[in-house]
Amino acid sequence: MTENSVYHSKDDVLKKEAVLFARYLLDCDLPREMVDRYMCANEQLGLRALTASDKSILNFSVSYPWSIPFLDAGAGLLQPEAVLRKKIYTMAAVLEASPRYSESFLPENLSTFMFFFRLIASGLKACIKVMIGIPMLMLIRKCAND
Amino acid sequence: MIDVIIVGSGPGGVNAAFPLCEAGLNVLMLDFGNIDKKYRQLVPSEDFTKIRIADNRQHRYFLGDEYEGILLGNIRVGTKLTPPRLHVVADSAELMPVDSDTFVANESLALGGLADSWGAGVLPFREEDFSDMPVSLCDLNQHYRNVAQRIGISGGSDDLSFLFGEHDFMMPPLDIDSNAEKVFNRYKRLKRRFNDSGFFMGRAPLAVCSRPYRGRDAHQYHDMDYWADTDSSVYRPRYTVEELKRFSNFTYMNERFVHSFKERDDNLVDITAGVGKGSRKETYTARAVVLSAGTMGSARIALRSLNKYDVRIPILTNSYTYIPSININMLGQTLRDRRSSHSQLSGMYFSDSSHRWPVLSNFFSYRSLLTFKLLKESPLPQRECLKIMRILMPLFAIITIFHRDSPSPYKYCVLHKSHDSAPDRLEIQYRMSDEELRGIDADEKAIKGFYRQLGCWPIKAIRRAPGSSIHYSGTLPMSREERELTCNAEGRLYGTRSVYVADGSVISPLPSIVPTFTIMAIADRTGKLLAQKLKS
Repeated sequence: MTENSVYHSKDDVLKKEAVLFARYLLDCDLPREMVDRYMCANEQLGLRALTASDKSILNFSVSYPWSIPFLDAGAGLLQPEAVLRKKIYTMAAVLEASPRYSESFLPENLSTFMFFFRLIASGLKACIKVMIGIPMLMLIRKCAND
Repeated sequence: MIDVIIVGSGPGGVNAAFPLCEAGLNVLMLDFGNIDKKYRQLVPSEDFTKIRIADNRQHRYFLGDEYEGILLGNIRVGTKLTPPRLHVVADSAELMPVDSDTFVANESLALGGLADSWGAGVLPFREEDFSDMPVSLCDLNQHYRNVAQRIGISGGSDDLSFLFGEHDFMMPPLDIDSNAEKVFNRYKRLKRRFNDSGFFMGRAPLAVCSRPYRGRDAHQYHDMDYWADTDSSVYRPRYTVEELKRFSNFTYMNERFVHSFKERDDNLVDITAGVGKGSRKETYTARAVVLSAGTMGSARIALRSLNKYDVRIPILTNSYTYIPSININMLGQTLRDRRSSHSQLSGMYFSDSSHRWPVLSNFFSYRSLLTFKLLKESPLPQRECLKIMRILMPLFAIITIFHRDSPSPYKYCVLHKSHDSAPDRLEIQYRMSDEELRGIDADEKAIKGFYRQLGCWPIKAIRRAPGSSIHYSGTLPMSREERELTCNAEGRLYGTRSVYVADGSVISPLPSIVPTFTIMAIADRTGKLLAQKLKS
């Protein structure tokens, strides 16, 4: 593999990450400008998977996008400093600081009923994701270390 | 001939300079003077919500051009140093290195010092707070008034004014937001019960204009105070520097990093300063020097100048805890858009019946430090966390608590000489006693209880590392007895003829009350007394 093709491959992975993480967070598609911002943020912040475990988790999430919510949930408890979490967090920052998506980050005023309904609904979804995510994460980490 | 050199442009330096300039003395202010050259002009004078839905450049100042506003690692959400404020700490690690595993030292080389991003709280000390110092509240009352007139203070008549007094130049208080209003109304209904338990709440005076004052605008309630000063309503010492520049006898020189002083046999003092970050040095001569380089900065200069390397001197800091909380009074309520980012309410707790040593708490709402930062604070999957944080934010409150600090043999700093061209290194060791920690735990437990009664349920108490409060003092304390590396009641460093200190260094012990207003009053007094001495 030549140096140029490795370089293009890394960029392609970052572009794919940007699209997947934006979809995960907000169910949205991304214009080119936002993808570029995500890539630039990764570069500036030095966001790279350095350990075998981090690389495996990240590669798995990008290869199988359905796993992102679960791995994010599992890592939240078991590996909060996982590069996957940091990249999703960075995507959230990039999305929030733009007029197109900012409303999805502003506070919501709800009635008391809706407040508890939404809180419980989100809480239940989070619990289910954690219950699936923890064993998934542990398995991927084990395979990476073997 | 320069009469007085002032080192630093922070709250101490500018307030020492004013009476000296008014007295007609020639004053030279030497300052490094970092400013924000990049982001200030980008931030529009609009409220937070309008900016969020309309400004295509917001990512530049909210996140930073190098994404320095995305804080990974251990830096918590409460950090208020946003990209437009990062100039406040720029270059300080390089020029003023600190070695410590037990203390977080934030120092500033900015125009205006650390106060270029302060919270603007201006409660004065009480008589008891001066009990170990050779000055009293009576000595400082006029100087508090001078400073209040100079910087502009807004505040109201409530329980805190009976504790701290009302200022003559008070502008009406800022409006509080809907989050704080609910809490304050509940406090007022249950006031007697709280007061009997030693808890008093009110709207603390703020150095924020509620109406136009001395060329500054009234606060616009844009909730952008962590990002910009578009209405100049929040006092910054750099506004006083601009006023000082109108005196023909005042000169401001930036890009000057003061290293040391040397008193001469002809009763003059030489100051040696580096130019920028380079190796070139210049010497300035004056009849007197006022050190206002900050608690650690002034200590470095004094220790270096007097060749007191490897000598321990005390250092104090307010222990700082912040408590994200849910204000259940806001359930089903609408959060008003119009608000300021400042402390909405202050609560003072006296654990002793004599009301001797209060613990200060402040109540903030959370919005303008952005939602994404909250995702890092939770172990939840980030998609659900975002949804939850959005609905919790109207109910969100952050309660901050500052505790008093007293000197001990386990709280000290030492300057170690560098033997090459690298800067001298300041080692700081800081450890609280078990008794102090128990006292802090007990006070915080009581305060959490009070806020719970007010409807604010704590989620988690986060005690920051020592030094995180960014309140420092006590390195060159005022002392009644002549001891080396202390100052007399006029602020003169003992053992020198004409070197004065006018910043947090002179204050010991350090009450829980934010010290900045007192630093300014002491500096005003030091400047006044020095002016009288030099003119006589």
